[in-house]
Amino acid sequence: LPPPAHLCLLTLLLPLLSSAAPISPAESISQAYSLALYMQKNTSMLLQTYLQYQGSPFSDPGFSAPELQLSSLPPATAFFKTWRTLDDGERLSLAQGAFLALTQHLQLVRDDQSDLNPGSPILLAQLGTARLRAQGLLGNMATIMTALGLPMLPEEDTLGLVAFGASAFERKCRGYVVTREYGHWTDRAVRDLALLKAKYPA
Amino acid sequence: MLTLQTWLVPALFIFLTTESIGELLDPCGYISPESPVVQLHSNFTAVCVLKEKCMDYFHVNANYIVWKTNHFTIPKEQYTIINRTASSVTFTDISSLNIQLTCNILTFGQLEQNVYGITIISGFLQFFVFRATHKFADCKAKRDTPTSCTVDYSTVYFVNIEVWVEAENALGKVTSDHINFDPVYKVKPNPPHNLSVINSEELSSILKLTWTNPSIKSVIRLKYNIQYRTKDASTWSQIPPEDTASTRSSFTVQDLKPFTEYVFRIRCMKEDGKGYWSDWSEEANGITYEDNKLFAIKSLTMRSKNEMSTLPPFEANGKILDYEVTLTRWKSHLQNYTVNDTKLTVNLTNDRYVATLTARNLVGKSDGTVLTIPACDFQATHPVMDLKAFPKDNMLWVEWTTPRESVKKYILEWCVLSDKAPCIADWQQEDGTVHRTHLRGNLAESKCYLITVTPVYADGPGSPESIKAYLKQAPPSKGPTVRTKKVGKNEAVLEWDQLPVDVQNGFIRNYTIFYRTIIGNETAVNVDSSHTEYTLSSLTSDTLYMVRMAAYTDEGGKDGPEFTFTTPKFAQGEIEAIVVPVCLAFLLTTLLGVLFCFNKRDLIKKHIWPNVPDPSKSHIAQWSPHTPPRHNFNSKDQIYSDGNFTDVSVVEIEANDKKPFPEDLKSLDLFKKEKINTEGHSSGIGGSSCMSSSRPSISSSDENESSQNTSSTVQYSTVVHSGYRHQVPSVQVFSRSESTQPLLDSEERPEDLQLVDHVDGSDDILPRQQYFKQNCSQHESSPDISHFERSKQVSSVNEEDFVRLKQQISDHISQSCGSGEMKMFQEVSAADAFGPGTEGQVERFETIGMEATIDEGMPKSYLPQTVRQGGYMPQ
Repeated sequence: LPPPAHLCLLTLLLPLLSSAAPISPAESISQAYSLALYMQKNTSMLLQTYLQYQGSPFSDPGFSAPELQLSSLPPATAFFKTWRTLDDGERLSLAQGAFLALTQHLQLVRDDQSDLNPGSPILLAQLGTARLRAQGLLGNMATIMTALGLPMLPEEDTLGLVAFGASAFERKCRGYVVTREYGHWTDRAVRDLALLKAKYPA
Repeated sequence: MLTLQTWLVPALFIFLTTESIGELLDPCGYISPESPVVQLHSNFTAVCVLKEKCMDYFHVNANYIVWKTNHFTIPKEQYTIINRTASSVTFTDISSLNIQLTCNILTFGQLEQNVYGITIISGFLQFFVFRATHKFADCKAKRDTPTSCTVDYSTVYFVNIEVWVEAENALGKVTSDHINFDPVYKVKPNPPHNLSVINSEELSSILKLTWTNPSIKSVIRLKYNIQYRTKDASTWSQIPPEDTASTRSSFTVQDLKPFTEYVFRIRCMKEDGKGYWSDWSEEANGITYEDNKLFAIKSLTMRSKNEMSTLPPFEANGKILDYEVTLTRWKSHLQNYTVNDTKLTVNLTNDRYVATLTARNLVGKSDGTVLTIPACDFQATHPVMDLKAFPKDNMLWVEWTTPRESVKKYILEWCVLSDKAPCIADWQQEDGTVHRTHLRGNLAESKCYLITVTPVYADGPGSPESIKAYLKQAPPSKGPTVRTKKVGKNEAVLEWDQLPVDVQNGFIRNYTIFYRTIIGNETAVNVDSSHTEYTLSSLTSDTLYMVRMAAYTDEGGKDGPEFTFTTPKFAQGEIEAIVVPVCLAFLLTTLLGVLFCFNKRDLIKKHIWPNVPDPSKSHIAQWSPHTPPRHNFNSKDQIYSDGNFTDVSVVEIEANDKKPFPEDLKSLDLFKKEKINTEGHSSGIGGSSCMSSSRPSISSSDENESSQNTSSTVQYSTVVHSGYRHQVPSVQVFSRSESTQPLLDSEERPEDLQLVDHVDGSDDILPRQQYFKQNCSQHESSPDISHFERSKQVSSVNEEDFVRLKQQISDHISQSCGSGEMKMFQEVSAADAFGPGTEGQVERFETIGMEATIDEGMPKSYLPQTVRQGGYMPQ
């Protein structure tokens, strides 16, 4: 993960940007798209880093378990025709719901990992950053929906019941599914926003 | 709302808290107010009140209170003594944010006793609050940097964040406006790192840079600035930004010089320019590879016919191992030399040579540089034309017109002209197609550069052309020293030397001469720079002038030292002009005087040293034996010299007639005429020239008797005189003493004359003419010596008389008479000799000759007057 850039707040005080200023859909879509692209670059690295810290069999080369799923996470895969025929609101709502769930799951995974791998700040930082970005993307999507005049989804606890007594392996598997799905959903968000971007050019 | 929100609160108040420090168990006093809240940059007053008990104990009062902030004593001016127990201190414009204020008392022995203390703490408090989905931790500003805060969190780009500042103190809490921004547009990236330089063996003119981009590269695309310079240079060159406008991690810099060390640095920013440039990266050095193609040897120069040297290589492109010089003597003889130095001395003949120089480095051999050494009889021709040199953009440019012949190349040489240092030439070479270039070298300002351009043709060098130029002119560092070459009465010729080239600092455009008198205004004269002399005109004579001179270049002027000179009272030659004519006039006058004296020397001699005849040498006895009485007379008369005998005669006369007027000769003369016949005749004759004419006047004045007497006397004298003259003219003297004898002779025919006189008494001239005629006829017809002698004698008498007369009555006698005294004498004799001459005066003068010219008309007109006067005087 890149080290945090230093922000000199003094300089930020000078150009007073109004928070109430209406943001055009194209602008917010573009920003969200950039974020999604930026996230996409890092998702595979996050998964790699995650697996690397979990030990065998996760860290074995070529490890893959596509059949592992989490019921609390909506699957990112969809029929292309179904996905393509969705209107903007539905498509954004699906993504929003997924990322809302992902932010909570990423928090869960980070908590699990800080327990399982306390001496791995890189992984924890990446997980934290991934959750922040997911949150940021959620915020961007909300801005788009506001700009497009679409109805907002009510916030809900998508995580549901969590087995706190899960074994380490279970938690590792859960983490694996979350980081993998985070990547998948990021890929899908890039496609979603690309469609939207084409529709609302700057 | 998932959008992050922040609040910003400006904190503009000092948060002042107090706490008692160093408090005694029982404090001696207290500071009021205990906990004031004071706005920043406002005034604040604190009061320290002492307790009575303490004052008694320490024997102090409010005057002893000393205020301190952070252990520094506050100046007394800020204190105010309120009463004997209380003292206040006032701070104006509080700006410090952390003040420790203490109240102290000075106890016995100047010991400071702390009474009470408060601490003023002030600062900003800032919060960053994420509401909704995420709230970042507050960023608390540090006390020493209250207006900035560094947030340390993993930035989420492409997500707007809101930032605001909250400030809180005892007065309350304030929140600033919120700002909302995407951090991606505010990025100041970290500089690229691990910058390294790789050279290329294939290309000696390139260097490849590689670097590691900052991590932000994964978020944003970057653009770069790459700068480089040679190791010794101070200014950076920049690679065109459009070449580095996209994300990359390497770049190849081209067009570098071979075998040169370069320094590089790089920085980056977001590609679209939104955000901030990173700092410059650390510098990295690299050396371009040696070039196998040495275009090192720029030129060969020939110092003299026998010595040839290569100038140092202009661009070595690598370490030069050695040089190889091939000398070809007109296609026949080949000689090779290998030298490590840049100088080779070879003995050459007078033929034409071609020298080829190559240099060798690790990589290989350079191209040859050819120098044609012309034969001795070679005549350099075809110089460049219209050579110009001018500064532009802080460089010295040289421009010329290409000669008609095809030029292979040009050699430009230049050096600093200086009187102190020799002209050490720097040089460069230009292609034959170039006609304008700038001098590549370190040129100094205000130095005179002598630039020489030599075209090189196929058969040898052309004639060089030189020009002087300055990179930048400056006023001269010294003014010219003026001095006078010549100072005249009204003008002064000033001269000066041309300024040495070292102090000129530019082209001297003109001089200005300032001159003034001590009191007068300064006058300035501009002089062209080509002159070294100037004539100041219309100066005042005998005046002190101060003159100084300034020389001007295009950039300004400089005064020289002041020179003073005094104009003389007289112009040169003026004194001479006065003195010389005066001297000449004096000399001339003297000369004339001397000449005059010389001419008259006889007269003067006669006058001063009377000619006393030597009786022993008398020969009268020999030539007049037949006249014994005369003989006697002669011997007797010989005693008297020519000049003197008159005196003697006078004495004689006086002896006879002392009664009348012995002093006045004239009167005496007249007297003689009247009373004594013997004497009278002589005087009468003596005055013949003058008297002859006087006689008529006398007669006209009705003195018939006297005139008769005179005429009779004359007759006598004449006869006697003529008688002697024939024989011995020089010894007229004798005649005088013979006065009695002539009378006897003349008595032979006195009636005739007397008759005539009597008849024509009224007409004076007639009898006189008659007399003269007679005289003349007598003289001519009868060579009677005694007669002639007599007349001569009489004439001498007459002359003598006249001299005396003239002396005595000179005031009455007109000039002409005076000046002609000598002539009169001769005239008389002449008149005696040529009687008829009196009738026609002109004729007579002609016969007289030279005397006549000077003495014209004198006997006729003036003498009668003098005589008349003389005649009247006794009356």
